[in-house]
Amino acid sequence: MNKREDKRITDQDRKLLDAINEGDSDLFNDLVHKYEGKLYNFGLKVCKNVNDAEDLVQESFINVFKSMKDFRHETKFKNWLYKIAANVCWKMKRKSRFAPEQEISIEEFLPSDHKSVDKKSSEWASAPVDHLLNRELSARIKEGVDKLPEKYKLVLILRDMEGFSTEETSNILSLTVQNVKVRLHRARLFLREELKEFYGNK
Amino acid sequence: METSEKKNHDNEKCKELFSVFSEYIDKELDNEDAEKIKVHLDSCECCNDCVSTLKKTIEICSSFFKEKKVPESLSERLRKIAKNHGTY
Repeated sequence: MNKREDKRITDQDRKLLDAINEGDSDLFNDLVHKYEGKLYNFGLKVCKNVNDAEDLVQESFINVFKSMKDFRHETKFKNWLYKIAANVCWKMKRKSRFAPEQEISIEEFLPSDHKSVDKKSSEWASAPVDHLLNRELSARIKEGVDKLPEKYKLVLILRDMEGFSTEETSNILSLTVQNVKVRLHRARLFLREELKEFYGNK
Repeated sequence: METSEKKNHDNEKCKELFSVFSEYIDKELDNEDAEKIKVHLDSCECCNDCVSTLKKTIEICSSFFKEKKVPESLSERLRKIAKNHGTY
């Protein structure tokens, strides 16, 4: 969907960014202070280790400062920041691995027959999340997210963990809305399978 | 699990609807398609289980991560970068 009509977007950071672009460069620090936590935690979700998460934050801010003058307020600053961070992720991934991105096929998650409904899966699906969450489960989810190919992982994290809408995610990752939906569904099915296995083995 | 009348239906229907379960959960389908799924879920234990486990997966996903504090060493590096870029 074309977002050009969104040029006059309301952005809580507009004043701060205008002041920086007018020369008050001391305010760069305010921007760092405001977003370092969000970006660091995004990095921890996306990356497999703390060092990579720190590199992601650092590289993202360097790129933000470099391109700040070109920011046209066509999207919220926060979304632009995540767009830059997502691009840094891709670059880091390309540097670290040469293996081509794997595809997740929806076919492998299709219920083969009605025997695939078992009692254990129904039990965890009906329990309150507060009762389910513990260190073991959190570690399993993180493992599952780490196993996801990058193109699915980023969509899942932005949509289900960072709280961006489908449309915002499509803008951040430069994907069509339909593509975001397809990748999100496959990523969720993949994680659901991990959880089913987790509870099935208990 | 033994078969019952409730589960005895056309499996092709499941396959057709399976690809949009996430959109159904996210309320991104139009009313007509959402209603089609709702009716199907009432009669298909298998798909109903799929949707409820998928919903729970999303819920777990959105709440499992405990936010961490930014390490002071990283904050310090970022402050230096901000200061240096301030001189452009």
